[in-house]
Amino acid sequence: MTTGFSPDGSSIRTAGRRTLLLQGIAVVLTAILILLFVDLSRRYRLLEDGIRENALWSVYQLDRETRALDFQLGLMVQSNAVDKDVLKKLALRYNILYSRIKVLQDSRFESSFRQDPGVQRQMKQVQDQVLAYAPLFDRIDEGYVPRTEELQALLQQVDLLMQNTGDFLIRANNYISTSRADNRDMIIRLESTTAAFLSLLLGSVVYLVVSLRRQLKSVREASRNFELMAEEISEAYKAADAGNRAKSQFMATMGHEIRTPLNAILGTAELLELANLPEDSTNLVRTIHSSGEALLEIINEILDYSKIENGKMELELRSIDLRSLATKTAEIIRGRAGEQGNKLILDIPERLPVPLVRTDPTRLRQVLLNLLSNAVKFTHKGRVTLRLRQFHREGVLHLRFEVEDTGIGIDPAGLAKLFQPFTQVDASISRKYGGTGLGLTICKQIVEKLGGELGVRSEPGQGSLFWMEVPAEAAEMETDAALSMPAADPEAPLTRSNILLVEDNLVNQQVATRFLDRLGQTVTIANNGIEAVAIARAKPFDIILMDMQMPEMDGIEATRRIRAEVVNPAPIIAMTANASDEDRRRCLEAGMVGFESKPITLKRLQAVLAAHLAPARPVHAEANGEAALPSAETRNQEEPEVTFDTARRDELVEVLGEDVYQELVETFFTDAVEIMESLHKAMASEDAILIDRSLHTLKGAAVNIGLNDVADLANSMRDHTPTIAGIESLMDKINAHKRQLVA
Amino acid sequence: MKAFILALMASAALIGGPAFALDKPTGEPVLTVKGAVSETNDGANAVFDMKMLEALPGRTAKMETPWTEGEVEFSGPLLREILKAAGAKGKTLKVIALNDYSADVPMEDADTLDTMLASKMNGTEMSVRDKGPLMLVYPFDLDKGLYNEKYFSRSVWQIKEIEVLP
Repeated sequence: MTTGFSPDGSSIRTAGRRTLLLQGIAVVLTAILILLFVDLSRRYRLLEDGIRENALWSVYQLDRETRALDFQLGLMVQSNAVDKDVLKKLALRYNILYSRIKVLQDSRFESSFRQDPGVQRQMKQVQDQVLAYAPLFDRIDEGYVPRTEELQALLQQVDLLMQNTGDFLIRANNYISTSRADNRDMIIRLESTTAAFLSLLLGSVVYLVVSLRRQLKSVREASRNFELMAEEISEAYKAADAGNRAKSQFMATMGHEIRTPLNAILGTAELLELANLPEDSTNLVRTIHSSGEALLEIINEILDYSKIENGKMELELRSIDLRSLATKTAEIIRGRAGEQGNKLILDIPERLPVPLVRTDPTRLRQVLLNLLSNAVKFTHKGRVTLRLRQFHREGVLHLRFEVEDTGIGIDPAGLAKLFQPFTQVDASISRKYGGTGLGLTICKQIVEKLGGELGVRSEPGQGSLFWMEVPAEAAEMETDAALSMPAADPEAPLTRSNILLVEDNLVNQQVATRFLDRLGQTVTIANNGIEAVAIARAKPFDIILMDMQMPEMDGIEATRRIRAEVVNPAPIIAMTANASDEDRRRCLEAGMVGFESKPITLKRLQAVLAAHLAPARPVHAEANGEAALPSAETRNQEEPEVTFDTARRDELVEVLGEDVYQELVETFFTDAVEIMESLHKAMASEDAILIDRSLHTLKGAAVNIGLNDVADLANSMRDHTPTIAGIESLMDKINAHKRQLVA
Repeated sequence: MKAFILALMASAALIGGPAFALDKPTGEPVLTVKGAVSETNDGANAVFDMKMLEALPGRTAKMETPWTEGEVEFSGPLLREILKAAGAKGKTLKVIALNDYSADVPMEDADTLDTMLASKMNGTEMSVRDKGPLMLVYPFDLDKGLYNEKYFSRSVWQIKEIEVLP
């Protein structure tokens, strides 16, 4: 079923770690980016700082103006022409030179230009020299005409100044070149740093993208895997569920299939016990009976277990009398206890604090029965005590039942696996005592379902004490008329009533018919739901016993139809091998008044009838069948020829005994009258379906007791609509047989 | 009194009377505007003395420059007023300094910017030793975007001539 992959948790975890790493990288990158930005903006501000006057240009201008002054001065000294105009020009040149000095002084140059010691020194020197001429030129401005010697001296000084400004220019140029080179280096460094950061950033981004892709891929893979897994799980679940359902269905079917023949076996055995058989045969029959009951118990346990396992066990809470429940349960087991030489003791307080409680009596009884039968089974010539106490825990009423025995006890290893399904304390137990090993498991599940606890205390050789504590509500007694029996005396003789038995299984029909005959009832048989509806419409009955599972129309549908179509219908009681809670509910919903699990016993049947039949009903059934016969007889003057299947009779006599066969035959004739009546009615109302069904029923019934000619005739009449004459001849044939067979 | 007469003349010009040619400068000429000028008073040129310049609409502004220490106050006539007075029509102004340094200034700098020919720094007339007599000052106080080498190189000081080029 699995495809061999494992949901890739490791890859997701790796991806998760990678994400963490990426987050770290992102933080680092962000920090680096911030640093880069700060650095860039700092550099930018430096660049902005660079928006200054050009130092080299200023120094050059200084040198140039010095040369212009020198040239002008030289011209004057050479020509020796000192007039006002020439002096004015000279003064202008000086003033311009002066202004250049001021510019050098005040202007903002590249930040460190003025800080350079060489620059500082030379600038100071030049400045001092230029300013030294100022007094002379101030006087010239005021109209003073300098002498030639003065001018020559000045020329010499300006020549010197010119040398200095030239040197200053070279120095400034060197300085600027150096600082430009430095700047370029710095810019290159900055560029490489930026490049490094950028490549780091790029690398990180690439890694991020790759990681994200990988992560996405693994997430996608994981989700695909999860989808696959979910699909597989759902398929596996479906398969398991289907398997489980198939198993449950199988168990239910098997239970039904086994119970149906078992029903027949038990019924037959019971009938046989009633027959006057020799002593040893009676014992054999009793063995068959008890073995059958044991088998039934096992089947019920398995069905219960499968029900519990499928969570289909439902509780039916009813108000019950605790004392009565305990007493009745103990009574069931008392016989078996006696067989084992055990004394069964009931320990119930004289006055129970809360005598009536609300719980599921069926389940409670089941658990108690199981515990008691275990106790009885494993104890010889000892005591088995059923104890009942009540107490309150956290304000809730609790029932505590104890089943104590003085039997063989259980060792600790056995206690450990006591409540596990299909296990018994050891293999020798199952050989010696039998059982499915399911009983206690079921008990535990039931008790837990009831909200209680089941426990045990035991020592080998000292006996065991099983206890259960279940919560319960105090209750008022309610009359649960729907499915429980009214208090009628089941032993009282029943009045003769008309009973419709709806049952598809021939053997079950016979068994039930025998039981009912023995109880002095008049029985009409319907082979399926359709027949049941038709017959119930044709004739009034006192009670209808309805099988649940039948071909053509099941008991539920038949019940609905009868209740819908028949005026004043008889109470309908379900009889089924399918004893589930669901079935019970469906029966009730369909309008049934009772519910009996198959196989039904004679005693049980008597109790059911006693509960639902009015005891004071006048006896009228006696006249029903037999009074009709003479009238038929008088109409037939000639005795028709009859054939009879003696082989069939011999077979039946061999199986059922002469008495029972005789009863069967009598019942046939009683029923035949009814069938013929309904046939007449059907002819009158031209109800083709009812005609056919009546003929079919008659045929089946006739074959059953060996009246093959009646069967053949009835069957041949089904081919086309029968005539009144045809029916009359059929009636004649039946009456002829009756005269021969019924003395 | 002279200012009053000048003002009268200016208003007469505004009213639309016949255009008077530029007066002859009475003091020492400080600025010559030549080239494409229509209002002339010295042959083909328009010559201004300090008084004529001071009579023109100007501005006073405090600002920092790369050539001065700290904030200084410049004042003087607006360049466009001088050009108007000279009837200059052209696209480029060649501004020439005493030491023959020159810079080309586009006409827009005069038209769109409050460019002035500063004659006073911190209230005193500017001498040649102190970048006088006239200095082209851009409105660095109004527009920080002007504070760069492009405008520094146009900021000519010790101005003696403006040649209006077509």
